[in-house]
Amino acid sequence: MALELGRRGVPSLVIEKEKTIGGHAGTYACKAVDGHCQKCGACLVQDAIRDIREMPQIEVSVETTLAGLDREGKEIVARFKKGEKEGPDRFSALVLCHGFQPFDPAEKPNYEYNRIPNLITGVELEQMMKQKGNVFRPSDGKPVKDMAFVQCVGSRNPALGRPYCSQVCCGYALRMARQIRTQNPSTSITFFYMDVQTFGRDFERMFWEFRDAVYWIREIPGDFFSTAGDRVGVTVEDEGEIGELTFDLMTLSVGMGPSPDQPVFEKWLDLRQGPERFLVSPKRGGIFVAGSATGPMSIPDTIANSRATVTHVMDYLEERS
Amino acid sequence: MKYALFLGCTIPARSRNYEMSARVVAHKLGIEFVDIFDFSCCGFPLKSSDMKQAGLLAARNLALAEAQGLPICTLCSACTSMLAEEAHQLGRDKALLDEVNAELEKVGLSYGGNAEVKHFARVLLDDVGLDRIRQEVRVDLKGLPVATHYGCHYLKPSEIYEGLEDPENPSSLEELVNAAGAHSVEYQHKKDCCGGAVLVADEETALRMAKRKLDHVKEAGAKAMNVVCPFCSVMYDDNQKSIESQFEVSYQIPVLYLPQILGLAMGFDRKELGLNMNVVKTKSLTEEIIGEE
Amino acid sequence: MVVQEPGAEGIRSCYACGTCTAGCPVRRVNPAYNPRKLIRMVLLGMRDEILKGKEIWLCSSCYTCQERCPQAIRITDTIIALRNLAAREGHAPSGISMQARLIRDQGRLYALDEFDDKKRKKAGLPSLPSEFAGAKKLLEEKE
Repeated sequence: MALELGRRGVPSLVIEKEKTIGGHAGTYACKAVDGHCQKCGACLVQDAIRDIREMPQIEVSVETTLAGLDREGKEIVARFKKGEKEGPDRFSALVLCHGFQPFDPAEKPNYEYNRIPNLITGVELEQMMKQKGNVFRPSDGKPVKDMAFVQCVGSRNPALGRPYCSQVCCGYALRMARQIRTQNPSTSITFFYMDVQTFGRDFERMFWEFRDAVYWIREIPGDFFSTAGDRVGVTVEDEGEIGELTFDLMTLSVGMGPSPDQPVFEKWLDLRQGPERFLVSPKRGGIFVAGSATGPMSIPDTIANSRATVTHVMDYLEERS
Repeated sequence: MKYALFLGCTIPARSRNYEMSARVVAHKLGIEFVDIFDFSCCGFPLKSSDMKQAGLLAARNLALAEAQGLPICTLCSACTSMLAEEAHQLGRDKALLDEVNAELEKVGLSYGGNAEVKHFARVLLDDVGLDRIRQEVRVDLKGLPVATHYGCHYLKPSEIYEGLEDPENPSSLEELVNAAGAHSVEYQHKKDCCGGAVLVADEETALRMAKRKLDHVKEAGAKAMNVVCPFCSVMYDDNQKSIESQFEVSYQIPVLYLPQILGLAMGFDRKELGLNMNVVKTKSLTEEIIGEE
Repeated sequence: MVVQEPGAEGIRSCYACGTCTAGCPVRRVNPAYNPRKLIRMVLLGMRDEILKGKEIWLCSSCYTCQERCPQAIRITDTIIALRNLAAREGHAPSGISMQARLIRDQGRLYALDEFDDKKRKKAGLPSLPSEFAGAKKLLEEKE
């Protein structure tokens, strides 16, 4: 957002409560396979972070929290706090891009997340790949001989208040699986799935290229347990037989949900929720919501959404003056 | 603490040991049980044939307790879920309540929607408390390894139990058993169903289900099992020998009802707790704990 | 037609994820029982196969599937509704019909006779009425 505005000559202040900007996507790994880009978008985030630093019109304030946001006439007043420094500041427009929160599998207790070893989320796998360059068993650091992905964790689940498909999980899981398999050709990969949602222009082709390297089971497991050697076990029906399958590592492909900061913004600015309980960008008043704060979306989609929002912001600023 | 004791069908006829041990333990802990002799079957076994009629039976029992101003304490988990579910439904569906009351009128009763249903184990946890139980321990169980079987209807359907316990991660029964001085062992697939409800339709399937649990309990080194429902007891206790011979395995694991374990710790003897009525012999177990009698 | 039974309304939302079957304790020991398949059969209108078959009687009503279903389908309640339909058409297993008859007649599964009463007295337990006489009246079939 800030970049596009900057390119059009609009100065902006980016307020970030963490130590660095980039949000969750900033922690994701490049998923290139043998040097071939898999179009996941992780590097786009890094590029944007670098470009922002170099653009003079953008001021970035990290470790800054907000105490309040108010509309005063045609201006937005932000009361913020950074360390010792406090103060209200006035702006012509406000864009909320507070992102999302990955689904916490503790909300679905039969997954036994945090209760058995070597069961991690997709986000944790991304971070492991980025920091360590390869995949290992968290319990003992040993290599992974066989691993499994469970899809639709915290998505397509009305019982948990998350009826939507998060659109990114089949993508990130398959891309990471492909990268892991390329680096470790003897590691077997199993996918527990409902449907493979191939969002994005190139993904369908990529899926067909990789499909045969994966063992597909069209069932979401119900019971998760720990077995000898800290392996993760599940009971599933496979090819008409009921059995127990065990793995060195299992990844829960978690979906996206509204940010924990959302209720505060709703309250301060009287914002509405959409049918998926994310925020709806208001049509007027100088306040905009962009990116995954409006709903689950991939990194390329977030960028597209931001560019679209920028045109709205530019229109608004023009009308206003 | 005064409760209408709901015994259901099986306990008064086939599981007198559960009734005996529950009554003496309750009395010692200050729980007063009132017998409402008009209670009938809770309705559970009729559900598969006609859930409306089953619901009526349940509602009548609720009305009887309500008329005496007493909350209901159940011993059988199936009775608990049947009565609690009916109370839950009637509490939220006015049309259904009216329909039910129109029927109850035929037998001179009316239900106002104020019944409370609690399994005996919950009464112990909520009204008595773990501390009091610890205080009443007279006999050291020396950390006896016990495998607790929660069963299904004690925990589910979870919405009728108002989120008291997470069915995927239960702990209440183990806390009770540990408070008495035993040691609850962890074992694989602790949440498995006993298979009791399938027994009438397909005996072999039911026995295979019970076998799976017994295998894991044995693997974990438990010296006894803890159950809170006569269905579960029939599967693991009454049928243990059949499973042993049919599948050529050996367990010899005594299956005790919760109040029998608590009662042993509280100093009651074999006779008072009906331990001679348990099918898998409990003699050597009690000798280990309280010596010979 | 099944969806009109109370509890079974949600089955149209089933997207066959298999979570129910994966966690089913009966399925684990008996491959003939498959809740995902049963729901699919209902949605396909395979009335006779379901109501005359023995599969619906294999459910142990443990509620694990109902607790875990992401679409919040009341699977256990649906099976019970199917059983009611089957029973109405005379397809209940004999053990189940017998139990139903006993309860409708005497209000208890086991009528307590003198023998039981003696045993109860010996154990220090109070006497109980042998049956609930009003059962027939309360549960009379209405047409």
